[in-house]
Amino acid sequence: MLVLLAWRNFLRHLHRFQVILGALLLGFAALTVMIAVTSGMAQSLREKAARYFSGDLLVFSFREDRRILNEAAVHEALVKLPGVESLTRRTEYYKPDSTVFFAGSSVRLRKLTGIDWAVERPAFLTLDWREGQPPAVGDGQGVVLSAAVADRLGLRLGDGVTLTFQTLRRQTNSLNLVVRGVFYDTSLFGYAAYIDIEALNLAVGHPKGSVTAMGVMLKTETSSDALAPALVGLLRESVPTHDLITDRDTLNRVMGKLPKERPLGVMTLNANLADIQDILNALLAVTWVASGLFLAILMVGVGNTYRMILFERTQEIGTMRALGASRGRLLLLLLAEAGWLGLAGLVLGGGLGVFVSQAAGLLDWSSNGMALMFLQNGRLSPRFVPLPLACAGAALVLTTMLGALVPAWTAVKMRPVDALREGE
Amino acid sequence: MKVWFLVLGCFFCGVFPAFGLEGRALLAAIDRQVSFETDFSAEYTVTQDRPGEPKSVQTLALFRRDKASKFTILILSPEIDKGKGYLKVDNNLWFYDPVGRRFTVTSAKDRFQNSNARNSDFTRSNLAGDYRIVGQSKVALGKFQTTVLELEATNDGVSFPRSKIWITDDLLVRKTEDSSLSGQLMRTVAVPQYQKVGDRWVPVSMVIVDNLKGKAVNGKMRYETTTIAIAKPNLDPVADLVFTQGYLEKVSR
Repeated sequence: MLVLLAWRNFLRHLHRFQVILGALLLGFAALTVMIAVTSGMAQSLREKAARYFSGDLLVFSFREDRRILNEAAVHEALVKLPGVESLTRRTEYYKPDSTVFFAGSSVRLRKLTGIDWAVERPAFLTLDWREGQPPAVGDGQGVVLSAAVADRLGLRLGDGVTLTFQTLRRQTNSLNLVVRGVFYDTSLFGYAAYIDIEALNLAVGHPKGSVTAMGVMLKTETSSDALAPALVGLLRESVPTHDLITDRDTLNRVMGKLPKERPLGVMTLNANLADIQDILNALLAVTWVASGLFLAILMVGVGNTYRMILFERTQEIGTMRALGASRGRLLLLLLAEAGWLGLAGLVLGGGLGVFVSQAAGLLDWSSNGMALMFLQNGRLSPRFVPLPLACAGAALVLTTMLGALVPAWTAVKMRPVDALREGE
Repeated sequence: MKVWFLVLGCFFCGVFPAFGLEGRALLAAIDRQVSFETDFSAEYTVTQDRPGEPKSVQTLALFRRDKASKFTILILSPEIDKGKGYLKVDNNLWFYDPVGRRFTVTSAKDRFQNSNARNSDFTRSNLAGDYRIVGQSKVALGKFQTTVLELEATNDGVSFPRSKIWITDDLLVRKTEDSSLSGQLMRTVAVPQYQKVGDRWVPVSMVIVDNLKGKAVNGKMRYETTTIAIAKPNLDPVADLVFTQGYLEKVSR
């Protein structure tokens, strides 16, 4: 009843609320855009990182040659996990000396990876391709390179390159490859090259069919941190597996010992991303600090505006008090009105925010090298994650009500006779 | 039939006589031509030519004690590199940087001072220990009649797992083509002229062409080259102190 009465009052005094409603609308639209864009940026960064680090959850070997010997058991454990979007199956070249040569110039790669295109090609198709696409399954001569490498060497699709590296026995070896694709990537995950897994196995001296990294890309709502212990448990049913590796320092320490009794390791993307986690946390911190500041300013604004509105409604309030409305009930009524105001701002601002976010997603930012790590196909990809948006919405309504609290309390505190007199 | 298998087997094992020597013995004889029983020292000038860039020149003093598998290299110029050095004792190789006054472990496979030469180019030749002959043929190389030996590494410590060497009748290597395991030509080394030191030989100069690094100049591909000129060869005994880390530290001060 009170809520309906508040709704009726809200509509009746809508002309008085117009300015503050406009402010709330714009404010929540800005909040929505900020949250959607930063969520999208963080997700893009994570997806790029997951591709670079062979998945959100990664299984690897502590053997000296890094081969996973129990591939079937690992595969079985991975597919049992919930929320799996796709699998990764790779041979990673761990030394920092792989170099691409083209027309006399060379670029040292940060990462050279052999990919099982039969498993990962569909996922690679979603990469930000500048030209070309992943090699076909069984194409042992194809290579895809990050734009950073291609730009430095002046490479185009179809160019022949020579890739040099060392075998497991530290012999100099090389492959002559053809550029099948160039993908946009950032300096953080740049200077990478992907080739066919069997071509790399053969070239570095792994037996055919070898694999050094197996992982899963998870659906966005699935937490790799939550699933990792379960994966360790599943693996331990058939293969001795090391305790979950929680950071890179631990990884390096354990890798130095090469524990033969527990040859498999499991690592989450977050553990791999200690450095990047700082970027993600900074992004989120900026968003939430900006949101907090905005809400504080909004609360002050609502308070001032509400004081004026309630001043104009002094006689109405006095009448209601004279007719027997208690202070508490009247206070609740005024706060409910403020709640409706906040809710209206939320709905309208949310709609505007979604529209603006989607429009921002249409702009091409690919010329901005620094921004590339946060983009999908050179564009922002806003994500409307329910929980943060719901929190922001709740905070908006609450802030509006809190802003209205002091003026409302001042108004209901007045004696009816004073209110009626003041209203004249 | 068995005889044919024997003949073919012998051929591929490299036991067919060449220069009156068998495969490994032949490589050992080639090594012997450029190795010294005594100490050896010389002044090396390393000229790096990168197309489109000014040439850079380094001079260095090299001291070799082949019988103990040791060498010391002391960079004499340019001023910025002066005092840097290398010390090899057995299979250990250190690089000394006087700025940080620190020795760092390096590898014989690494590039020498970012040139196209490898650190292993300054040590004694050990073809017999590092390679086996997998093929041979007779080829004319300019004015030289040469035998080409195709070599395959027998250990993983060498800079290149496959090599082809052109040798003249005097068992001197006139040209080398170093390749990766897959057969990709990585670099070519030419030794146009030797100088006799005692009863052994030392190149007057070596030209190392990097077959992967270079630049197109006026539409023509020019590869990076490193020329190593060797002067003032000397067989006088070198003090033991020279083959120590202390020596490099001392002379760089």
